[in-house]
Amino acid sequence: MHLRIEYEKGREVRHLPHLALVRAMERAMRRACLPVALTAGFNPHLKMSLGTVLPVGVWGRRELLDVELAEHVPVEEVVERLQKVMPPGLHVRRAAELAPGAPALQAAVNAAVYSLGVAEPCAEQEVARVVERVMAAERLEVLSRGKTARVKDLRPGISAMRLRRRAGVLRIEALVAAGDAGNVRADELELALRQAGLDCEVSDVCRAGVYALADGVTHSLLDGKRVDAWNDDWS
Amino acid sequence: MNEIEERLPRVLARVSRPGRYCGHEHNAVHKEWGACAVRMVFAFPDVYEVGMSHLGGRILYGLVNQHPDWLMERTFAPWPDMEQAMREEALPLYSLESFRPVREFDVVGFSLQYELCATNVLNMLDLAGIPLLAAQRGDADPLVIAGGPVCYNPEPMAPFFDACLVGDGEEVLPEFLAAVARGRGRPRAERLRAVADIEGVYVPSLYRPEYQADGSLAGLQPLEAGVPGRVRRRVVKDLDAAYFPLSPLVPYLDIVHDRAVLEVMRGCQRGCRFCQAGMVYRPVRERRLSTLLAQAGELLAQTGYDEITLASLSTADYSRIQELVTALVERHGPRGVGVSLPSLRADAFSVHLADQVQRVRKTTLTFAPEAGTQRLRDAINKNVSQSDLLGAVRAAFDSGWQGVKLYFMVGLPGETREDLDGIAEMLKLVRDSGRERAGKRLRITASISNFVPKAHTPFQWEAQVAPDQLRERHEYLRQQCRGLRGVSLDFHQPEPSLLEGVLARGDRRLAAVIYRAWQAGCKFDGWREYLRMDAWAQAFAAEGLDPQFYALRRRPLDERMPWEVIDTGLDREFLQEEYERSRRGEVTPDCRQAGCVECGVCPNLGVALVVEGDDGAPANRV
Repeated sequence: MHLRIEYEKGREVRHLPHLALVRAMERAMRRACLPVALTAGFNPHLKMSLGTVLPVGVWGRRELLDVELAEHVPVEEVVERLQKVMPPGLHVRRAAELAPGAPALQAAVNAAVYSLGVAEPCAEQEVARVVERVMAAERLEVLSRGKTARVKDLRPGISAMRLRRRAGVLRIEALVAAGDAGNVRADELELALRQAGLDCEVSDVCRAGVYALADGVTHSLLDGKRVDAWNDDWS
Repeated sequence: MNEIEERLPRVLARVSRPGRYCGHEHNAVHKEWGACAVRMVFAFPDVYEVGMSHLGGRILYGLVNQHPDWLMERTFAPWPDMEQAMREEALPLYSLESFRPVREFDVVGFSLQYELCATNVLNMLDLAGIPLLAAQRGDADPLVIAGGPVCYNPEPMAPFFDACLVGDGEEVLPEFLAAVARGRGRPRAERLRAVADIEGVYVPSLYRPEYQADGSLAGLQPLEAGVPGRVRRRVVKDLDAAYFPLSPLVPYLDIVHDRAVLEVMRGCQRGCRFCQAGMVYRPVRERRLSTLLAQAGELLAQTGYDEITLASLSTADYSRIQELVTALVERHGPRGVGVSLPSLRADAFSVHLADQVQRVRKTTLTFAPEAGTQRLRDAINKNVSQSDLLGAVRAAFDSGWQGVKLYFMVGLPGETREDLDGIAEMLKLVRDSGRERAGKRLRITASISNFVPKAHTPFQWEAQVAPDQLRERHEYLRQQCRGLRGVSLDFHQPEPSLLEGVLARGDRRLAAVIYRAWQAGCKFDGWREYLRMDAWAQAFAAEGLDPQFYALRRRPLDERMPWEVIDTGLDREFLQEEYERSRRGEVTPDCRQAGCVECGVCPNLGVALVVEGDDGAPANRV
């Protein structure tokens, strides 16, 4: 059976690289004695895919991974068994069985919400102005670090941006394009904000969730249902 | 979240591999600070990835934390970029579990695995804000102790440690910590005097070194009544019953040995004369097969690792190795778990074992002939015959292995040109054997290191070969192997070997040299990119000490040695006898097969060889 698991890469382990996460998940699966399917050949490894990479320094609230089990196990049981053996810093939230032939994670994700914490001291008015400037701009050109440094226009990839307070911390949040067709990275977003005049330090960067955006509506990649990604209250 | 934890993210944003410094690993132990009577931090003086691979640390971490009133956390040497950031931000060295400053702990314990970690120790103490010299620490400072193989000659680092714990940590550390708990509130000197009464604890401040006119040691004088003239090493008698961590830390980061580790046995009886580990970890004590299989199952369940390694000084010598390997492969193989053997004997049996466990044959098999001629191998008591080695190589290539790596040493006692020719000859024979079977994809690597005489071995009186001569011999070998297709040679630099040799057989005066080297900015001396021989040379010169005196001089048999304050259980006569036998080219057999060779360890320490018989009952208790 094919499962999609939603998990959190916690704030306290945000400095872990992607590969470390892959390994940690593999080991958790083994500790949970889940019958994960193995690839064929000399060096079998678990059939698992973590989708889009969460870079070093970024934590994630609703990250997704796909895994194939060789035998059927009830979804609630998978979640329960995993939760018992997860390492500190990584938390399994929920899971769903994928219909056969469902598109792979990499292909299905096309939107993400990023949330950048603004460190004190900082004038909220100033930050609000920065957000306005970004959304009012026709073009937002940043020098993207990527594999080949190039100038990239981020503006078309930003659907919405606003300020929000969470647990007393002021955060700049943006709904952006993600995945193969036009990807706005967290570090590029921060660059654009700086170029628009953001002086304050960023305390932490979080990817609040990944989604499938169609006709202006965000859908969950777990069950395909409409979900209000913009108003997720992080409870 | 405390202040350090809050300030850390800003600092981590500017360093490489920040995952080294943020903890939160699976099976990390968090205990309540206030509820613990003794709080210790395990300080490994190398970078996270190296320190986390160390089995001893895992054992002690589990053992100490198991005790309800004790706590052990960890800290490692920050990489230079992190060190710089920490100094800029005035962030002290902290522990990875509770992010507390290391100086707040009762005990800071350094694991000294190799001599060149010395400046890292000083650097960590400095970063922690703890006085580097034991004599400068007050009642409010932690007790700074050391453990690990370098404690078999603790003298070069003696002034920096309040105590050195010698031998098996499972035996001596709990007694030490219990004494620390009892001594709470007492003046420092009183506490140190109390721990000196524990067998295996060496308190350097209670001994004064005295020197002869010629610079050699006259003796190490105990300064108080009742302080032992020699400190005897501690030994776990029953390894099978000894604690073993079944829920060890599982790091997030890729570390040097990223697998579940099973300790199959401790000690080695082969008696290779150059090998300090073989001398000081005697006698061999095996774990029962049933114990190992149970431990393996639990270990895999608690960690989720997909590979398990069978660790010991010479795993292929475990008396039931074949059954162990077969059982592990049968039980865990189907779930995709692999087994690995860290080292192999140079014979076909070992290759057969390796075949059973390696899933992919594209990797390399490693053997250690150490010397190029039977004459020299006999002199160092390395029991490898050319026919065995060639048989192993043939078996390896026949099974489909494409690469073979051979370890050799240059600079062995009595080495002649013929011995170097022998290395080239051996490589040629191996290459020819491989060519027939593995064709063009054949890879033969010879890793050539430089012999460093070590304390407590039959060669402790020997002169190390000087760097320029070593370089000549490396060059000669290169020439002899020129044109050997498929064979590559890899040489260890001679200068670090000299430094290692000086520290390995040095005395307490070297502490001043180490201090100066640290002040000049030396750190990570075991890493090629950081070792600064010029700074070390200046440090020696400034102290008026000559490296040659320590490493390049052949010592008279009656010279007092700084490390003799440590009693390994070996009779001095045995070492001397072995030294003389080596000059005569006589081999000393393995006492497991040939009966007692009278090294002295078993009667002196009240221990015995523990070897599993075929029927599962311990067969050979002397």
